[in-house]
Amino acid sequence: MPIGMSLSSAFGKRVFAILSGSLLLSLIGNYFHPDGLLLLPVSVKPGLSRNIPDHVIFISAGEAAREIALNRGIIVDIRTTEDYAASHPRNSVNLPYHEFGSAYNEAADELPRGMNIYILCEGRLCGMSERVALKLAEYGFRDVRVIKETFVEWKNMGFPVE
Amino acid sequence: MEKHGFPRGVSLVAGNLGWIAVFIRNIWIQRIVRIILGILFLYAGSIKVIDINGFARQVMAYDILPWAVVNLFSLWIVSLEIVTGILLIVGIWIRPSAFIVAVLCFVFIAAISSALARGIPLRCGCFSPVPSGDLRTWISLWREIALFAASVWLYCGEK
Repeated sequence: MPIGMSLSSAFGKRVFAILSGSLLLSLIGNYFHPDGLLLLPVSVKPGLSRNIPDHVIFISAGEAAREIALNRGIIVDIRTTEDYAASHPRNSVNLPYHEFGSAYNEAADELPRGMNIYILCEGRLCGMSERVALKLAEYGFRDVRVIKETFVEWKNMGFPVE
Repeated sequence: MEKHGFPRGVSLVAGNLGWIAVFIRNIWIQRIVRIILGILFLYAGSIKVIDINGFARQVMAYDILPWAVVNLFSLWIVSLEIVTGILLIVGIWIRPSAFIVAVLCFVFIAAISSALARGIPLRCGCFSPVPSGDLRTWISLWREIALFAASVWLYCGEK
């Protein structure tokens, strides 16, 4: 090949060495990283560290809506008070992420211990839902589920809001 | 019109093309660009290592790869940036590194363009939804185009 890009050429071998060496380095680095990622998540949201407890489950909005309709749990909406007041899922409790401590103290009695808790947020990137799930797990809630979709997607999919 | 029949503007451009060619072929300019490119990629990779979770969520937000491979892909990209950055700075395996950097930039350009075309919000939007067409996304796109051009130039300039 005129530009020497075949694998048998020195160029090809070096490209292969860089690619494979980087892959190996990434796996080793991830192993020792304190917040290392789960390597092949199947149903877990990308970006989560290995430290996330097994009993924090990620489910789709459809599954959550079906379980809630069967009275299996309630939604914890972690958006701001203003966003929640404007519109929120039916059968939900508002625990704003940035005031979680005080909001939890006030609303703790409304959170059912023997039922599932479904966490819903606005953003896709922040990871706040996962942090709240960890916090609730610390408080003893064993059946915490994080809804993969955002509130806007929940609403657009036609699930109950008020 | 000049004596030779070309308009004055064309003569000026043609006359300066020689200087541009000299500039592009200057080995010191190439070395400076190589080191700057290396530093940028090493820096970018290092920042992502600190918040690898955040970077994986960013990759997820582009909505291109299936969730099952996002984490592995994110880790590999970060590692590639660091390794190629170091190789470019040190000046070892420049051509293969420039080739990989060009491919990385091309992938980023394609991903950002795809997100812009589909209207996907690339920022968190937790409390103030920001549309995908915001200025920072466009700046990222143009930055990647510039880095792509630099890496292609580096690749072509090396023997």
